[in-house]
Amino acid sequence: MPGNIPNTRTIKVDLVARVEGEGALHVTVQDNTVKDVELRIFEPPRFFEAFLQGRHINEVPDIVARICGICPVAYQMSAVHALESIAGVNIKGPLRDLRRLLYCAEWIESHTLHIYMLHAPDFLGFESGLEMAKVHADIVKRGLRLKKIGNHLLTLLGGRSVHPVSVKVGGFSKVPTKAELSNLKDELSWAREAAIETVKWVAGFEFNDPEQDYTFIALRSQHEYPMNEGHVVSNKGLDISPSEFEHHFPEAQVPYSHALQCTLNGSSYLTGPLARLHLNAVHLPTIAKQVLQDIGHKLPWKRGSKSIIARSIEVLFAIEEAIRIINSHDSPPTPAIPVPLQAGIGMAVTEAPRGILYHRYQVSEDGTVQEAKIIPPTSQNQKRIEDDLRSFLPQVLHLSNKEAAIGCEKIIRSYDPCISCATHFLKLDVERLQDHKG
Amino acid sequence: MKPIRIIGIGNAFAGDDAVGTLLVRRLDFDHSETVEIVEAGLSGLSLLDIMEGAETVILIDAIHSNQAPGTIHRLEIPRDLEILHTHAWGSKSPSTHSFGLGESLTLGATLGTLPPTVVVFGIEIRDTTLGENPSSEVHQALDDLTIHIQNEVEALTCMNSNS
Repeated sequence: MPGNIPNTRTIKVDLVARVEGEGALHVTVQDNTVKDVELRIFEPPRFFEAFLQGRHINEVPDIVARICGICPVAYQMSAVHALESIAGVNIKGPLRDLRRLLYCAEWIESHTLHIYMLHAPDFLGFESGLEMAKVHADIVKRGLRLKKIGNHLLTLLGGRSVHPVSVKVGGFSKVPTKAELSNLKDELSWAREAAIETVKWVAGFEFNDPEQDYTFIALRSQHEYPMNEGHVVSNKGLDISPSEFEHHFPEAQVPYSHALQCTLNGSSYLTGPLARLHLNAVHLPTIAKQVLQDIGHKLPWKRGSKSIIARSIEVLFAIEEAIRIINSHDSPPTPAIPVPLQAGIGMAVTEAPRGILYHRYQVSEDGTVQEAKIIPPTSQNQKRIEDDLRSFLPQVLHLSNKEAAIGCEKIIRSYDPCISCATHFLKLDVERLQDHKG
Repeated sequence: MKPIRIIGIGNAFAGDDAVGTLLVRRLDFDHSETVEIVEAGLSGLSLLDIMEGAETVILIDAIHSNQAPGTIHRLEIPRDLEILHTHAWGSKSPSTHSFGLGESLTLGATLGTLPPTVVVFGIEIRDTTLGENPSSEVHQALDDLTIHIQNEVEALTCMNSNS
């Protein structure tokens, strides 16, 4: 390697086939300069758009819940809000609170798993969460107990822990009783302290990936940290309603990936916890603001790796929000309100754990879906991940391809992409080519 | 908390991968106060939560170790963790989407949170095509294993009620 680097080298992270999707990384380096960075993703939502055609709107929440095993609530939420908007229905009061509570459950579960089992090992020098557990058993136990609380909440509200079934257009098929929710208070009180410890723990990690000039995109609402509704805003002046999303965020096919790439004004952008935090820190609960101040990492953060702190702050927020909702909750008079069938087009954006999730449905007057469009966060972050890698690679070009690829994986993992399965267990091929141009 | 928990794992819509789920749907016990049956789907790490509090856990899942389809393996955990780690269907992929059975049980063993007795019955599978029914070999194994587990658990519950 050093002293023996050919003019052109290819750093490849080979395809790992998974049920949920496939991802690979292909980097071409010429004369010690990064030429091409291609993140190749195959994502399942494309197929679901076709499955949804011809289905009744009442079937949509159950179908889209199957798109992702870890964030089914996000898919259900974007779907029901889009479909309800066609009839001009806006869910308010206790039902709105319960939807927000359900989203809290998903954020807690999804974020905690990523922080503890997938991302922290990168900072602490372990190959995997399993290896980390051998040395830091108590910390991992704390993470799993936190995750379990999300799981409890999800089961209570969603009817079961995987692919929840209770969400429907207009509300829920069944809602938990006030007593059932109150039973969670003690565990949530423990979780609040554990979440604070988590923030302090991850804030002590080292962050040395290159600084970026990120364009952050997230929802923003006037009075609360965003989950189910709000305007789509950026840190650079964008402020649009969800119905305008496709005008500003065109999707384009790139030859090497099945996932369409979303851009804003032709450039990449970042969606997810880092973006949400920067655009909504003002709406964090007092306790989270205090912890954010205590850890001494002053916003703005320009390193993608700091997403682990953002994620941990959001776990604390979600727990605090769950406690607030449970304490103030009154059972809704009915688990759902009627949503009249109506022809039209409805769009919605909600905040999935990994970032904004856009849905659009065109529906006929008998409630049949004519067309569906789904833009998940991972395909939106795809180009931004490539840009991060492009700026990171010069730091590792002196290393072997294997070591360079490990560094690239860490950059990718900061985004918690749905292809983290592929990026965590990479089979590496090294290809070295001579530059025939001399 | 019921002392015996029987947990079926697998995607009910993915051919032979459905074995665990299909098997627990066939089970029927008179001892409902001591035996709990759970369809765990693709629950990954949540499996540790699902097992929590039980004395004895019996897990049923697909195994892929290049033996004849329908072959039934009986693995005791933690003794046979390595075998499970290598051959459990869907293992080797610690991702947001799926911590496999091997990884989940290894983590539980590392943290010391597994129930006192954990047994995995693995059925050797052939085809996991989405939308397909299980193969004939796996169907036969399902018949055999259902009777076996039914008997084994009946014996356990008798021991429990006599003790």
